Amino acid sequence: MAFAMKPVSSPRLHPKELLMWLYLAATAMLFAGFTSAYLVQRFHDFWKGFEIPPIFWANTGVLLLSSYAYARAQRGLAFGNYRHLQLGLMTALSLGVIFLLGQVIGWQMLIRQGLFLAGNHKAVSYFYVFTGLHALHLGVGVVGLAYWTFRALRYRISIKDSLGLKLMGLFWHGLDVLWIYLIVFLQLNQLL
Amino acid sequence: MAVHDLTVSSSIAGHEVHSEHHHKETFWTKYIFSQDHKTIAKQFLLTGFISGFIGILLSGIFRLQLAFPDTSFTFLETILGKWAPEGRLDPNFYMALVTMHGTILVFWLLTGGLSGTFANLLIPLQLGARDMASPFINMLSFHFFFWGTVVLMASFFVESGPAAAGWTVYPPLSALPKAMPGSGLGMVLWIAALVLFVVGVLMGALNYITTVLNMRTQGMSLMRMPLAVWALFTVAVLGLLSFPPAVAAFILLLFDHSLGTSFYLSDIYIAGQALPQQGGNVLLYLHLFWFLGHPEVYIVLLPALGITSELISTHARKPIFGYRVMVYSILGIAFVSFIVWAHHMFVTGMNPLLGSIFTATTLLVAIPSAMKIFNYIFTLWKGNIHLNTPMLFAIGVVSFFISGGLTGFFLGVAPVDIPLHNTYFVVGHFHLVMGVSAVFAMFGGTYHWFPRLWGRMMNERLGYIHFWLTFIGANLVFFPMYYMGLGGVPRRYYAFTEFSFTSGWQDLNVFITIVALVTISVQLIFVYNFFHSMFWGKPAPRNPWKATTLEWSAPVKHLHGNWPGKLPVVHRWPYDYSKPGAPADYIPQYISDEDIARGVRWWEEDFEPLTVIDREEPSEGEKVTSPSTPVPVPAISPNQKLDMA
Repeated sequence: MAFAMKPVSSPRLHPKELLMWLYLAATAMLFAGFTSAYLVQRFHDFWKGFEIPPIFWANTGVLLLSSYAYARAQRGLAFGNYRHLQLGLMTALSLGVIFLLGQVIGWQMLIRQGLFLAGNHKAVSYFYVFTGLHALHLGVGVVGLAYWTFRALRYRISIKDSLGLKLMGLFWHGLDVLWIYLIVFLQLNQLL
Repeated sequence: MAVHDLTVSSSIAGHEVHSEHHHKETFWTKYIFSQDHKTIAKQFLLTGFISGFIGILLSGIFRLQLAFPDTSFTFLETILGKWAPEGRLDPNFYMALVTMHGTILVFWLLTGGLSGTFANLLIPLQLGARDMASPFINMLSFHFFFWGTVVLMASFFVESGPAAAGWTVYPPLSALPKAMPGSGLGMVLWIAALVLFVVGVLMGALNYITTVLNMRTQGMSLMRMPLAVWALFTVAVLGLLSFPPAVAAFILLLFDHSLGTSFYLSDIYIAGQALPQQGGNVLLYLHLFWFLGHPEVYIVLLPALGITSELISTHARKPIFGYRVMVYSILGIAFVSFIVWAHHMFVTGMNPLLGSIFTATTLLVAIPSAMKIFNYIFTLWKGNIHLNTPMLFAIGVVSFFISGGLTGFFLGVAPVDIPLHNTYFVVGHFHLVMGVSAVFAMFGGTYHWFPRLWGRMMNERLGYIHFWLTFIGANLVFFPMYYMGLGGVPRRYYAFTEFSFTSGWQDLNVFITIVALVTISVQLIFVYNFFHSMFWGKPAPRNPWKATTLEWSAPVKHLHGNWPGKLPVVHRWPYDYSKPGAPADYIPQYISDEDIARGVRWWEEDFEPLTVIDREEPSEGEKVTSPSTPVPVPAISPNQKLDMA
């Protein structure tokens, strides 16, 4: 098989990899902006908390598993195991979609409790903004994953794609880290 | 296994090298969906200049209103229709004009246009790279910018008119759709345009940073980079860190505007009726906006200063004075720009202690700024000054930076800023220090690099006339505004005839308007010179200004990949002008001491730089990171040895 060995690493950070890291930095700054806005209003008299439905925590697990599956897929490519590559990508993609569906269910649970985006309940509004924008980014990630899965299923991935898969992985794991930060931050603010 | 690896390396090579092939180019691939950084630079330049021209035309209309508030101009009704009933400007539309003028000039001309053009042109060419790290993302960067421009311009044609809350779009004016006509759909389009614009700018910034860090040619250490590249690199970092929080602010604003949240809204009464929104905080918007807004000033200004460094050194035939100090002052300004934003908010009732802190940090900006100014003056001192058009514009930048910058002291100190806040003093200050000076740098840069962009020279005589009339005009327009501001004349007012303390300035207003209209018309000289020279200008030699930097070693005719053979190797810093003992008053960066000893005559008309460049070993950039050549792949990597063991 054409990819029967570990990918060869470049002596320096590949320009496209640096590009992806910088992109992640920009995303981090976007959410830093939201975080600071949140913290400014957090200590306002009008602020009141709400219970975050547990499904969002379950979703966290789903996303973590998805990242793990993706890492398995990358390992599959590195060791020339096409089956692992395909399985890993398919699992990562399905778990990504399940996460998105889980988020939608979570939002519906909030709506059933009468907690809407519109209105003066800031904690809820911010919750929708944070999770919504994360989901938007994740949607882009799912499209990317679907592309790679499609290629993997048609045996159109070779070792020279390891950079592409690495970039995809950075993006996907980045969203994972972002989500963990968001859910922990939002939950802590409800508890404290 | 080794065989597999060879296939791998050659397939990478095959993949990477294809950019060298000469594709058959159609109009669309060559001019619209080009991935060549030089073409993208031209796209940014033209889009920037065209939107900038629209922006100053808007100022012409509102200046007319300020000078002659009671006169009706029938032609205004012809152009603007319902916004100028009976030839008199509608006050709502006046506000929209001011808003769009600011937005277009700050973001479209001086951020997208200025950085987009010169970063795209200079970063790869001056660093000896074949192109940007990701030419595809670079193309997307322009397309987002362009569609942002289309959305912004489209807002002129919606029924309720374009956004009208000032270029800073403070809520609640921007967040309540019914506040005024311009708060409706125009506001949504403004936010959409800005988000597209920011995405474009960020894509550019990612590329600029990566290219600078990763794709410099051999010998081009960071401390051998031209100052223009240093400035553009720093600006990309600034943009990367400051634009995303602004997007956060705009997204929250859009939610407040259209989706019923109340992040920024609280205790608002319209005609005695309380609005339901409670608990929001307008100051939150101000903080988020100015966290971008102030670095934005330097996002505009630093490229201008970088370009000025190149122009002054080249045309004074002297090494830039204090290169390292220049680099550190760029970095210093960039750092300080993040901790001064609240000086835009002294009148918001902030804690006086916080005000003092921001006063102190603001005044810190003076230190690196003054270093740069002194260095420009010392570079000029006893130089062999060629007063051609680019040089005149560069000196103009320094002049405006001083006359605009000195009033920054007044505005940076809270007790003085509070009475001057939102007066014409502020308008005069920012127009001179960042507006006109950056526009002058952009003009200077265009005159200087026009031969690099289009292979032809711009007309010098027209350039002279353009410079002097614009220089005099800009001073006469903006300097009197300091006096008006000290007299307490507020900005953004529709007419100054209502109050005695403002109507006393009416004659000055008429004067400013007349000069402004003349100065705007003078720009047509530039437009003519620009387009005429593009097609019929004198063909440019390869290195018309006898400059040292690498962009002048590439062939006049644009090549995909910039240099036909090997990449140039850099042997010296970029400012070897008038070096004692050297055979010419400049030594290009790619000339080594051995070349000089061997008698290479680079100053002669028919000298071909490639004869030197192609003799060099392939550069490090070529070997490791250039997209156009294969990445060397060891037959067996260390990892594999481990696996096999």
